[in-house]
Amino acid sequence: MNPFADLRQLRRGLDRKEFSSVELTRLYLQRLKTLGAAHRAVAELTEEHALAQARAADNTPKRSPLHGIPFGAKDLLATKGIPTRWGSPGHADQVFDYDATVIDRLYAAGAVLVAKLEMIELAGGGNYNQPNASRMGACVNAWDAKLWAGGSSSGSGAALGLGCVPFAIGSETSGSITCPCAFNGVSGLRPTYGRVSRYGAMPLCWSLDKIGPMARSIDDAAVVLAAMAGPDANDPSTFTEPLRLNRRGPRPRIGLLPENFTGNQAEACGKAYQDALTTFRRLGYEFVDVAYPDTGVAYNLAVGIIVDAEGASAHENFIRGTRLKELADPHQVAGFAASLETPATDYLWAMRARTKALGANRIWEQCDVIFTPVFYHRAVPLEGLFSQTFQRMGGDGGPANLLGWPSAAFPIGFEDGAPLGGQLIAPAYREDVSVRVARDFQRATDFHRRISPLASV
Amino acid sequence: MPDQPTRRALLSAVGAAAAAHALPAKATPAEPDTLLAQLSGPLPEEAAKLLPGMRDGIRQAGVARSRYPLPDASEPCFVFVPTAVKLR
Repeated sequence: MNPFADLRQLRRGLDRKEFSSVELTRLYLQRLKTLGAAHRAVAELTEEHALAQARAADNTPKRSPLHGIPFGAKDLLATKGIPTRWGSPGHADQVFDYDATVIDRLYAAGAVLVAKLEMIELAGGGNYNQPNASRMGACVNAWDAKLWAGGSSSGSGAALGLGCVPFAIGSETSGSITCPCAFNGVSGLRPTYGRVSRYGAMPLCWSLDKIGPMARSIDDAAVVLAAMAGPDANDPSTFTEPLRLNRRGPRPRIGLLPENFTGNQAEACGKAYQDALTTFRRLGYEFVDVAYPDTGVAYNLAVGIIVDAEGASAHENFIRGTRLKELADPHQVAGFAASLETPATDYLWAMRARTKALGANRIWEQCDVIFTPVFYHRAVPLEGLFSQTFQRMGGDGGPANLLGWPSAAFPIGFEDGAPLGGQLIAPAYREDVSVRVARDFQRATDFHRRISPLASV
Repeated sequence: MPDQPTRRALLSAVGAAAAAHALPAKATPAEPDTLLAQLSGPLPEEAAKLLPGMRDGIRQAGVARSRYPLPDASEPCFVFVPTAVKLR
């Protein structure tokens, strides 16, 4: 059994009875107990629960491609009877008596929950400013023990990069899937807002939060997304537009944004980006230079105000309560407290600005998908404040999260031995375009198959 | 929820009643910090030092956003639903 096998290989092994779900589950549990724990990626090991699910999977007919396959879930998803601590010392004793819809759907598909994976406390909504903003301390990168695993889906990224799970669930309000994918050299999908139910997920921002799959490849992430997606009466933001990931049509045209590798001293990323363009060109893709239309909206400012206002509301009881001061990062304690003062007029400005921001959809008149680095550099160090360490990181400053656009994040190269990530951003509802282009890229490259030197037990 | 004129009248009556019972100015206790009064107690030292900066950040975001054109008053408030676009 290869812990870095993709879902298709695992499926084949299970179907041919080369190994059982129980054996596979034990393999990943063992890696979670050693590598996962050492990297502070594991919030809760669900050993007994997992082995019971695996035994059941071994003894029942296959229900889906995920039947009998282990997975980890970001600790922001409610799991019945299993602690769900949201990465927060202030929620260390929290246990729900129901499963999040996403968990329910994966259970229905026969998947086996082996661990809740660590995350930034309360998804970092209080302006977290350091890697150790988490109940267990900073989650350590899968490729370099001096680097951070990214956030807020930290444990999902690190556990995948270390071969502790074959797929994981993450969530994103603004960068929380794409960042840990880039930092740990794994692949993930941020779906369109409303594609996946948030019922049972910790809310940070009702109007921005998305749940998405993270995996060894975009192919694998697409299989998981298909199992989780779809309308849910418990989450009124979900829509009925079907997910059609294998839609064909003319080869998508790739839009290229203005990049600033030189100004950010990002030689390695500049080279990885150019190499990626060469690969796309060889595959027959065409490029067009694009820029986000000027809609008169400062996208990041609007996102920041919305996070402050909705986060303050979602966690108001906690912020006003006695346990706020238990959060690990003092920036979060102060930030959540201050967020109570967000004026309603500022929040409503930000929400109304989204109407104007919709003008950015004009970019899709020129291209079908946008390719851009997730960041200009490898992961930031474990030590230091982000206000210093993120200075030359860049990152997409566009309207993608504000407008609910999906993205596929995947590895495109390395800088000093640690991964660099790229992303393919598509219009709302068109995950298929991101998946198609990223899948083609991964069939022509092997970055997603490389194994970290830290991943041996 | 009462309609607008009724609500205004109620608020006006409440205001008048409050004014009638107002204490003399010299007896008014110092007004507590409205934010700190909402919290359950003092913040840890490091967080307390960061709080003024965080509060200023919230204010500065308000200042920054006011520099952008404000939506027209007649524009309905935004209910977020992703917009589908037709690709080429």
